Amino acid sequence: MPDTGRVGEIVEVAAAEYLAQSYALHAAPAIGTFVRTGHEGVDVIGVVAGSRTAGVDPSRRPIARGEDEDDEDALYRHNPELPELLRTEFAVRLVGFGRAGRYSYFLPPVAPRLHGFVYRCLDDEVIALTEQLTFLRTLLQPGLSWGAPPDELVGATIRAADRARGGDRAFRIRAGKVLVGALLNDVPRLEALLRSFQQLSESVDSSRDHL
Amino acid sequence: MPEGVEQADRSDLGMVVSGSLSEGLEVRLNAETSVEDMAVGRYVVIEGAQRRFFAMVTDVRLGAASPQLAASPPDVSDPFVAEVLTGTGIYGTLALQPMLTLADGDAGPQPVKTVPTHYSRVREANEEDVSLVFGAEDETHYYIGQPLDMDTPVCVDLKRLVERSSGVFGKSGTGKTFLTRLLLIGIVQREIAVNLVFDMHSEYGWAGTSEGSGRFVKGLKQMFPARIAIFTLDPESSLNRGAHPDHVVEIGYDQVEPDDIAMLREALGMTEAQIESIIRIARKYGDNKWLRRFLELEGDERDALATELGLNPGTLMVLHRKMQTRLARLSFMKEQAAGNSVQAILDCLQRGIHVVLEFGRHRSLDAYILVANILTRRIHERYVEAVELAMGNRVKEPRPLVITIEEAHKFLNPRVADFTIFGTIAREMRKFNVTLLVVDQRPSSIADEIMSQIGTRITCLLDNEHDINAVLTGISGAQSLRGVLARLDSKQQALLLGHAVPMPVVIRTRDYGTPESYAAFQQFAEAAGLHRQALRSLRDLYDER
Ligand SMILES: Nc1ncnc2c1ncn2[C@@H]1O[C@H](COP(=O)(O)OP(=O)(O)O)[C@@H](O)[C@H]1O
Ligand SMILES: [Mg+2]
Repeated sequence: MPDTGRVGEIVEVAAAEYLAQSYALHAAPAIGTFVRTGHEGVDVIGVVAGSRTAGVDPSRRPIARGEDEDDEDALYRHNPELPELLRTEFAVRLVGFGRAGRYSYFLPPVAPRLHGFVYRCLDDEVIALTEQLTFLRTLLQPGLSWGAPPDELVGATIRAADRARGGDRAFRIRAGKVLVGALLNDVPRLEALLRSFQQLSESVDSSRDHL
Repeated sequence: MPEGVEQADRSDLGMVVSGSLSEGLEVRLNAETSVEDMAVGRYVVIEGAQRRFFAMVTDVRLGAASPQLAASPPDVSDPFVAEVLTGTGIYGTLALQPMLTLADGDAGPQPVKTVPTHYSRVREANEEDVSLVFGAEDETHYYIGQPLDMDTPVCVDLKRLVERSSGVFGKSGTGKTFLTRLLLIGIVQREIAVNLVFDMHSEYGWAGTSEGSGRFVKGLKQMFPARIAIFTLDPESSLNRGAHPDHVVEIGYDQVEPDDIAMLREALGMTEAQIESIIRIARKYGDNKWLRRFLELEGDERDALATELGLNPGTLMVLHRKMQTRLARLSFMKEQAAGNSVQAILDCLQRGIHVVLEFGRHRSLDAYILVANILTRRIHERYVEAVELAMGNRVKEPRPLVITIEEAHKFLNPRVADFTIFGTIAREMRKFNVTLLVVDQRPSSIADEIMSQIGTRITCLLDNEHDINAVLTGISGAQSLRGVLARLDSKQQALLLGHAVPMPVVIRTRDYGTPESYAAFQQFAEAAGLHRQALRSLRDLYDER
């Protein structure tokens, strides 16, 4: 499959978030990754809020199989059916939508469709998307129970946007300033959050390697 | 445009977030504007929706968007955290006092009657704003200094300055004398009035000193030789300093009236009983003769006088000694004064010649108070006569006269202001064309009722609460200027307020003492002189200006 940036397919949709299944096991985009889906020329933009891997059949819980194996890879090699029984899903919180590169930062008028393809945003898109940062405040609200805690999500999102810029201190400062207003009454939390993105971070994205 | 990125307009300081007309406005500073670059006294402009406001910075504060930021401060040693918080969580604010406003169609700046709308932008004043409000130099406007951090001239309206009494205040060494000298020069240059200066420390007429390098600065006579007459009480000292006095002033015993002595109550440490005795003695011998007669009395004659007037002989003895040693001993005191100094001064004033009276080595307060009082009373009398004569008749009124006194509270404190000539002059305003220019370091010692007559107040640094209060009372919106006043530089900065300026303003006083400064004064005088000559040759030479 050529690298179109496609990372998964929507399997569950709610008002402000959707769940997508990753095409490869354990290859969900990292938290904070900007992703796009949509049809009829409307891009629905979201941020990956977390991922999980579990059995395909919710009634059958995975069991331990590797007691006699030397390493984990051997375990997967000796149980080739595993990728069929397991699946990796990731949750995406919607931040806005856009048409031809012009973005609005509220929920799209039309919800994404089930089985919609999910693509990773290109750096240029991320840069354009994050010229406006008010959506960070939305992300500070709690989301899915198994998603990353809001502060982790916001920190990761800012780091991802910063990486797209090749590291830009002015951008990080600007992002920090947006958060100050929201976290005025919890200074230690604000401080911890600021520290999580004050430096240009290395990419830790796992999904790329698997595609 | 990305949020948080401000326009690159560097003069933009912030925006109005709250306030009232009576209490002033609060301005939130841009994140880029450091509170440390701000200063009280600075002149700023608010661009309201329909009008522009001219205001003064009266306070600079630190704000925190939440009490937590102040109570448990984040680690701002981390420059990133510090930078993020600056302008958002923590920020600077300015307190502004709006003073004037200008709307489209206004003839000129008007007094403020409202405040700008929320979020109006505030910017540094530029040259245009300053000259719009403080005018350019002309026949009456005189360049006295520049606003803080600017080079544009601030002008005072000298015509308005002399219309009422005015004052130059400030602690010792803050630049009162330099400022006063500048004002006098302006008045001389523009022929706004004639000056009579009681030059206690011999600083105005000829060569004043400058602390800076212990060097001398030019006096009025050196700048305008033909327009200034130096009178002296101490010819020797004047000559030693290179000044050639035009007239030596002597005071005859006959010129000293009981009231003059009453003025000296404090300087001479006189008791009520002594003052009362003088009044009785004068009643017997007459106001003009009492001093000479009293000084001539021998011991037993005095006792006889005491009995006759029902006075205590002991009091008379002490009083006699005091008059002998403190008054008669002054070298300018004569039984019979040679020439009439009052007339000589009046002759000069009438011809438009300004008079500076040097005290030379007579630096004691008693000499100063006595002479200033005696001369002023007589000159004032003559002015009153002349003005009354002019009323109804077609006789010319005398030229407006400005009398400059240092240590003014000695003449105007509440205990004496009621009966000194200076109190009278301050109260009657310009009815008789005489006003005061008082110079003082303790304005709180001046009677309130006199202070309220002081129309223009030019104030260098003051640090005493009472003095600050005294200078600010009676001027609307002035209370917010207290902080400004207490934080002036200790030299060559002043707050101008009142009648002669359209709005209060802090200035760096114009430099005095450099060759360029002298040249500028003389150039203006020459140009103005030629202009006036031309006008005069058109009009009747003796017409009122
Ligand atoms: N406008 C000015 N130009 C130059 N020097 C000044 C000026 N104002 C004040 N100074 C300096 O400050 C010193 C004190 O000023 P001065 O007028 O004598 O103070 P004050 O009369 O208040 O005691 C002066 O000797 C001079 O060195
Ligand atoms: Mg002085």
